[in-house]
Amino acid sequence: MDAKVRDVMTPGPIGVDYHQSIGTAARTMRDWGVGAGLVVSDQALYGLVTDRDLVVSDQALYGLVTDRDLVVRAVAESKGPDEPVGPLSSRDLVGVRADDDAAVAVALMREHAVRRLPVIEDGQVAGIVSLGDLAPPDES
Amino acid sequence: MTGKVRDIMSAAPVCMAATESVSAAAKAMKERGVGTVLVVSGGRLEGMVTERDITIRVLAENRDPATTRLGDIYTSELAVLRPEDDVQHAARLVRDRAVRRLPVIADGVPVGVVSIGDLALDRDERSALSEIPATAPDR
Repeated sequence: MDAKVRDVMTPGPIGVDYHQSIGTAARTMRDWGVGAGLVVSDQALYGLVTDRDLVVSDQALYGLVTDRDLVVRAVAESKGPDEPVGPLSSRDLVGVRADDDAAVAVALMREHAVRRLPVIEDGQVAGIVSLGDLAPPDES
Repeated sequence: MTGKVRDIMSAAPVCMAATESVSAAAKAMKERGVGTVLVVSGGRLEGMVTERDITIRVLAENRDPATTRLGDIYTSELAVLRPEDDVQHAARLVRDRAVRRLPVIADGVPVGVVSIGDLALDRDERSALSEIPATAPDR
């Protein structure tokens, strides 16, 4: 596995705002054809972000929300589509650098038992790499 | 990639009737730790509903999960697998049909589900990926 994370990631992070509704987030994920969206907050605009925080388009990265989060944390809990999507997020994300070997992403997923990692380049989130990107089924 | 579908499938699939609500399916997905519900009638497979279907066919369309029935949103005309099929055949179907999950049928009865994650884990059992629990949260 010689590829770099940059080569296999889904580029151009799909971001949804913390305060956006669950329905809006679902439409964003539908329209972009992605199973996970990065949740951003406007803390950056108020100077609350430290240089350790990750940034997406000048907004601070709050967490990640997936199809599964929408189903088990909203629909299964009878939350309506107008409620904010932010609280459904998974936080404490583990990032990987775009110029890391893909094997590094595999090791991080194993270590932290997660299937998706935000990809970092120049202090910004450049994309997401998922388990499926790293091990696509083939006939080998 | 050797082996049979029966070796990698998740057995004991969650099966529900088409008249059940999307809310009930979401609760079952949560409680059973799965992302797929098979829709059955008289024990026979009629269709399938995944987390993704709930996102794009219910939430994105502003439908009410409590009153929307599985019969309103399920995918029918599914490609299916048999337990004795080769894993390689499953991988080819996943790729050619661009699906992430396939039901497994034996004698007309649903007996399991194969997901893209099951296939990734099988790809090299000594690889690091195989140590990611198949039941890990999908994130």
